[in-house]
This record gives sequence, structure tokens and C-alpha cells, in this order.
Amino acid sequence: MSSERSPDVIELTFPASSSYVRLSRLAAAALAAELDFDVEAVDDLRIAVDEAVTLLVTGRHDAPITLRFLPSRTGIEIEGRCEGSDVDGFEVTDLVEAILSATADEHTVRSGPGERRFRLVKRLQPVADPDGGADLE
Amino acid sequence: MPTLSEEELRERFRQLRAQDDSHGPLRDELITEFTGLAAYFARRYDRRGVPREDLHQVAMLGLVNAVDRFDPEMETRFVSFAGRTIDGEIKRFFRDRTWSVRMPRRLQELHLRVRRASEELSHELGRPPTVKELATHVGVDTDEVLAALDAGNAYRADSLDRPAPGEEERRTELAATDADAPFAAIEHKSLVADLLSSLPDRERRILELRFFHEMSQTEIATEMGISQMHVSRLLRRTVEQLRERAHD
Repeated sequence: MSSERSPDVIELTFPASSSYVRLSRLAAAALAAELDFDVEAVDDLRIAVDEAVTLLVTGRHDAPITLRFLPSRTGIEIEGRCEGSDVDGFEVTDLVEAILSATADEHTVRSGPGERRFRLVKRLQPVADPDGGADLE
Repeated sequence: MPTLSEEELRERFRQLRAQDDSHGPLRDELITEFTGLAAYFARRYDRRGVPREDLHQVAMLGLVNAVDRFDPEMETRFVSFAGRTIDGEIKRFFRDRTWSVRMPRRLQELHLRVRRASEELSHELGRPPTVKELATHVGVDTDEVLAALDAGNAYRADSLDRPAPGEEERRTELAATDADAPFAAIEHKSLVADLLSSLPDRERRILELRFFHEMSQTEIATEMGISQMHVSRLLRRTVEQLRERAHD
């Protein structure tokens, strides 16, 4: 995953139901763990994904949700979208805004008639490791 | 009450750290010096259905850990460090008891191992460990660590989130500081304001520190004297509650 070839793209499509929010969170956490995020960053990412995906699934629409995960050596980018005639805009409360900005390094959320989208970026923090990046022990 | 001055105390710790025999009489002397502190914390958790002697044992265990882990070169005074460690040990004891009836045993054990490892490694590395480091340390694969971390948030440990019957919420020092300013900006939105005001002081404070002061979980954990994983759990649970209520 950390090789020089073109970045991996992982896509996940699921029905607009809050029961799949956990799946999104687990996928994000598993990818972040692979990238060597620390536990706190993994946790941040889960909170951010929870919030962002909840924005997409909320309401009475039947459009499927698609998430694209783009892991790279510098971190992970996650895009989410759903499109459909019954999709409407949503309001982003100040609390949601505060949560996203505290847990993700970058975030954009957009919605209007027919579509909802978000984009999150969580960057890998350089680890100060006295013995040159080797694992423990 | 302690008979040593702060500087004398630090000097004792420096001697203790310099010794090969870290379990000798000097360690005992330091433990004895602060037995009263352990007793004080044990008493704070009275009336929660646990025999006082048990609580005292747990508090003493916290004290011993504090003596073994205190770094005399840190700015923190020993008494604050020990207080947090003892308090943490007692809370952990309650949490473990609470969980034992709710979380499947295997997962519970794994969760506890991961949590301890997380605390040890954070201390050792001076930063939160990565998931892989935790997995290596505990000797399981990363999937299991992720499951254990997720489990910590899925199962509740209510007992300590509320004061004991008849007891006032004691964490006023945390709730009352420079508190409310960051929320002021959003209080005009009545839904959010209603939701926030329905939170217990501690949850509200954690939410505020994390999302409005943008302090890290580790920083909040240090300030509040609880573990990072506990901050994580409270934070996620609180956010979930807010979200559920917002959608009611």
C-alpha cells in the first residue's frame, strides 16, 4: 500500500440507511490503521466519518451512498456522495461544523437539490521515532 | 499529610530512580508518605456499593503506580500526578466491574489489555501509539485492536459518569473555568443550545475542549486526569447522544 504505484482507490456503495454508518466508520478505521495512523487519529477519523456519512443518509431519500477512500503515503482522503431526484439539501449545524473541523484536517460539505457531497482529508502526522522508524521492540 | 517539601520529594525520587533496587525502603517510604492521599480518594468513592477496604486497596495500587511512574523532572507536582493516577485506577476498577456484566468476556479482556497497552505506550513514546504498535505490543493483529477500540465505545460504563446518590458533582473545577465562551457563538441556535445544556458538565466540557478549543484527546485526558481512551469513549458517546436527540 505504501509502494510507488498509483494510489489505491477503494469504493463502497450502500443504501441510505443509518445502519451502514458503522460500516463506513470501520472501513475508514481499518484503512487508517494500515497507514499507521495513531489511535487518536483513527478515532478522529471515525468521528468525522460518522458525522459526514450521517449527513448523507439522513432524511427520506432512497439514493445510494457512495464513499471513495483514497489512502496515500501522506494520509487518507474520503469522498462521499449521493445523488437522486429525491435528495434534498441539508443544514450543517455549527456543532457538526465544529466537529468536522476539529477531527479532519480538511473538510468540505455541499448539498442542494439532487445531491449531497462531502470530502474529508486526514493527514498522517510524522512520528518522532528515536530509532529511525523501526517498530517497537 | 506529607512531611517533605516539594524539593525534598523530588530529590527522593531522583535517588530512587538512580537506585538499582527500585523496590527498596525508599520506595516504601514514599508510598507511606502519601497513604493519606490514597485514603482521601478512596473515600470520595464511598457509597457506590463497594466495600471501603476494596476501594482502599485499589487506591493504594494507584499510589504505588504513581510512585513507580513519577518523573521528578516533570513540572507536575507529585501530589497532582498521584491524585490523577489514583483517581484513574479507581475509575478503571469501577469500569471493569460495570463491564463485566455487559461486554463479552473475551472482548472485555482484549479491551482492557489494549487500553493498558495504550497507556503504557503513550507514556513510553510521549505520543499516542499507532494501531500497529498496539497490536505488536499486545500480541494480536490490528483487526483485533480495532475491534477492541470499537468495543470500548459500544459498551457503556455509566456508573462513574454520574455522581453517587446524594453526592454533588465534584468536578466543578473542570466545569467552571473559562468555560462558556466558545459555546456562546452557537447558543443562539436553540436546538443545539438545548442539546448542549442537557449534557452533564463533564461531557459538555470534553466536547467543548475537543471541538471548540481543538485540544487533542491526549491533552484533554491529561487535564481531566482520565485516560485518552476514556476521553474517546465519552466523546463519541456524547456526540452520538446529541445526534440521536437532534433527530428525535
